[in-house]
Amino acid sequence: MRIKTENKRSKTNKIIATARRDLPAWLLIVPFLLCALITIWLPTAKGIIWSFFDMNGYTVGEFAGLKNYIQVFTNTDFIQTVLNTFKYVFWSILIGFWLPAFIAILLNEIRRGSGYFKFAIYFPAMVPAVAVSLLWYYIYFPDATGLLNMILLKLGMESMAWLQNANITIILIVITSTWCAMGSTMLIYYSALQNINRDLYEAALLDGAGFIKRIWHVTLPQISGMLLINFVGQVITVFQIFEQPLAMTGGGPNNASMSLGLLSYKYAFQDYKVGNSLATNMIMLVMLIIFTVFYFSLEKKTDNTL
Amino acid sequence: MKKIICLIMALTMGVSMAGCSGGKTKQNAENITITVGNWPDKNANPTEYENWENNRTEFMSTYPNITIERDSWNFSIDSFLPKAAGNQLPTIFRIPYTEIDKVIEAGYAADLTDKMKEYGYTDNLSDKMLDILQRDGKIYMIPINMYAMGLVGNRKVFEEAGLLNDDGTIPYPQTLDELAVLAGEIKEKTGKAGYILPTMKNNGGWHFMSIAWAYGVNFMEKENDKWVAKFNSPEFINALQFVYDLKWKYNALSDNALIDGKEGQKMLASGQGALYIAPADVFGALVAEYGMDKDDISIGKIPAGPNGQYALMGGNLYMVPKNASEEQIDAVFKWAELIGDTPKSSASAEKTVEQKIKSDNEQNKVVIEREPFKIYKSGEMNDFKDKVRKQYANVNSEYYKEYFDMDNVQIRAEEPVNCQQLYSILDNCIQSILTDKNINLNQLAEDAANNFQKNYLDNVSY
Amino acid sequence: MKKDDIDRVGFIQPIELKTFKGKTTYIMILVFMLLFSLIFIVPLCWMLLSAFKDTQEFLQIPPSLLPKKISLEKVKEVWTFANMGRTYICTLFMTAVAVLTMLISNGLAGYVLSRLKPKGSAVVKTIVLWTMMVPSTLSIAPKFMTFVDMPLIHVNLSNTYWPMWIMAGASAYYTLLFKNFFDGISSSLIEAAEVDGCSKLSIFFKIVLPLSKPIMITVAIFGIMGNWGTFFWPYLMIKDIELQPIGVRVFMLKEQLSVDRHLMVLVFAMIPPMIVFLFLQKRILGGLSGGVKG
Repeated sequence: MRIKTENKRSKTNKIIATARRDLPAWLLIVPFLLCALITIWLPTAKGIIWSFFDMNGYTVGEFAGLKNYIQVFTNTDFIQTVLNTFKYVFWSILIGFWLPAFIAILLNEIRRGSGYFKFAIYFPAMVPAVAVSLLWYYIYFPDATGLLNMILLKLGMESMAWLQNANITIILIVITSTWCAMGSTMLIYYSALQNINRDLYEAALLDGAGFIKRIWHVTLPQISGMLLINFVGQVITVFQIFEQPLAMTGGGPNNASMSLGLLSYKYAFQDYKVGNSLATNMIMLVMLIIFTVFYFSLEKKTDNTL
Repeated sequence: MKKIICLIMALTMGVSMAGCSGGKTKQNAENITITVGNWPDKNANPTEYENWENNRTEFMSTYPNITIERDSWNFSIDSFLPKAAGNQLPTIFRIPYTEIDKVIEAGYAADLTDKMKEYGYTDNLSDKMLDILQRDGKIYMIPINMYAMGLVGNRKVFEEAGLLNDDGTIPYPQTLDELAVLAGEIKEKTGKAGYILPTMKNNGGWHFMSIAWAYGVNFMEKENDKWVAKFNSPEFINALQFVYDLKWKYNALSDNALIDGKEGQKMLASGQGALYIAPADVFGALVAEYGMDKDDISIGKIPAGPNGQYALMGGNLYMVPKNASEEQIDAVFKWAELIGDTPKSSASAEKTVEQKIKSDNEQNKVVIEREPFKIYKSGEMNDFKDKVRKQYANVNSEYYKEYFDMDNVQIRAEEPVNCQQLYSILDNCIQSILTDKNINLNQLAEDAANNFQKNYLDNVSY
Repeated sequence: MKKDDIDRVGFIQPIELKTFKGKTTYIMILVFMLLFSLIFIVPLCWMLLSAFKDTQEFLQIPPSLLPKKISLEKVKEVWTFANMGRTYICTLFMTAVAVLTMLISNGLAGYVLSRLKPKGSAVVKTIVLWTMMVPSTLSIAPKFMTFVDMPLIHVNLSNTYWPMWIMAGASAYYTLLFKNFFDGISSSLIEAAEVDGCSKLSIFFKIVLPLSKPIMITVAIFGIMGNWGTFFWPYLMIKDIELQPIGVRVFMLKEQLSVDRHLMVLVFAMIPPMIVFLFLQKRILGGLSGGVKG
């Protein structure tokens, strides 16, 4: 009996001790928790719940079960939209994922004037979106007056329809969004590279390692942790893409560039079918969760990084 | 565990709060506050701002129990929903005609039927207007201005093509076939699009309606309480064939097949295209945003097709949100009266209207000598507006003559349900035609009608 | 940084720069980078030049290369029309506090998750990670409804910058970035301080904070860029024209200005972040330190 009480007491003591030890830590994280609760978690929870209700605008109606979901799934464009979304992700990994790292590695070699390059490549991040779409409109313009077509014609080739060619629309949108977004990713890689222990290269040189080998064995390990995070980050961001196709093609030609994000946007803001929009978001969320779980189970290593 | 409980508590509280939204406006019968949207910007629009401020002062001294709060917010599709959900809509604001159906459907608009009657406006509405405004016998909006779509032309491009009439007017095509030939000729002679066909952001479908009706397309019908898509039809295929011919037979269009409404205006204004279907309220944007010379603007009717001549309505209305009280709605009507947007005339209404037209004239905006479309059958304001317009008109009325001769044109409202969704499907049809020379139009029509039925009409419950 | 260090920065060693192979590789990289940077710089010049063209010249296709004339009158006129001075001040205030919140709230959270790890913080870490996956459209309206009627205290935050500040304090991405950085700080320094009897808080202020300058500056740069031109939420929340930040002004002025003049407003909007970047970019040379080791 006594032993039990003592056990209990020591347990309570332990809890108190833990609480006392952890309290300052929890206090430090309170601002973040509060902000996140107000602006992310609560609203998201509401959105999730509402996706199962009949919504009149944002007025909650009757419980509707899976009705919103069924309407989204049976939309004749749904499958095409999902495939398109995967296409966006695929191309953005192929084009947009390695490019910032590659450029950061090259930039890291520049001895003089690296400031210019940093400014140039980061510049699009500072351009307001309106100006960006105006700019790329001129670049991709499909007749002889478009910038790319001018170049093609100068080179003696035939002009192309660019965004209007359903086969390459998504690739071109991915190129544009890479142009806008690669600056900041590149800067993160670049600052990581600046911190490399320089003796490593010297050692590699003495070992007779060539440039490629040095990049592989010294440079890449330095940023591999970031590459992993950015891979996940990029998949997540691109999976939700909607602003660029909205501005550049509106999802066309004939739905060739329609993404799940844009579908959800259209449901909510063009059709005012909020229930369907929320259901689409939920479908996206579930897909992303599946991807992430799958990815992390493959890549145990990230557990340490994240 | 505690955190989870906290989370659940907070969550439930949040959800229940959604029900009892905190209205910000005072409901007190003695002191009423209304918020007026679209309030102009002091720096960018000093004249207009001053006029509105004067109106406000005058209004508040006439009705000392009513306070007016200013709100610079303008209706936009993506900001409307959150605003409405948070009960933050102004008590009165402008909304374009194309958006009112979904707003009413989503249950955000106040029922103004009784007030309209009380003020005697309903009986005074022109038959066409009444038709367009009513939903199941109810009226939810106060009309401000109405336009029929017309065929806007850039005279400069016609001049370049050597196709202007001797008096400087545009040789307006009378049939759609003539339009196609003319547009092809312009493109051949100038290299610029003879006809600007929008294809994106629902503008393609919106512009296509007048053409489709001219071909006799019946888009939908109600059969046994259920809406059925009817446009997998020879008429629709013919209308699509017209678009196909514009592109592939007459080569009359721009090489760019992804054009939204703004882009279309830009092309017309900057002389990259000659003709464009648009409502008559587009002139402001053409001049102010894209620097078009107002003397280059001309407008005519949309040409006739095998089934007659049609034009879709456009324009602006005032909306009042659902949570407005009876007294607030009354105050809104009083405000609309004071600023001259009703048939009733008063010194301040006349002053406001005259100032508006005068400043348009001073700012070199288009002022035509008569209103394109009368909302009310009679009323002092009607006559007054015409009088002031005549005084301040600043464009050659010959260039607008064609448009005012609407006797043979059937002016139609939009399709009854899901019209924005229909437009988006038509956008896709048009894009497919413009980007694929070998397209099968029969198949396209069938798919379009099917998709519309399955994705939208089947989900309509009224 | 010593000159020697600059030369030793990359995989090409200083010695090799004197060999043929090293030299050609270096020149090839330089040429490639110059060409590549054109993709970014040419549009910049295009924007600056176009702002000076008149409307019809601006819209003509093909575009003209240089504006017919450059008039400072136009700059002045647009500046007054858009009330730029006031707009700058509002935007600056909104951005400054947002960046501060961002650094403090997310930085502390990152530190707690990385170093202090109180019991239960693993759960928070996982939730933060999942948070990144939530599509933003899912929560727009509930969020807005929260802002116009804050839970418990029932305060309406419209016409204030609070919504933007609160949102800045809850970035999952920056929290993870901070955490990642703090993970990389060598433990021996901290352990040594612990042996000296420093409390956790004083360790944070005396050791961690000075070490985290580079990440603070990086996040601050991104924060400034992200908040300066932000449009959607200020547009929803701030009705009073006198308080609207530049992102909203740019949008509101679109209908009132010709395209070339509007472009000039866009240039006005870009200049302050560009200046900030030019000043701060040297600071991030220090890099994100070891925080990124795999």
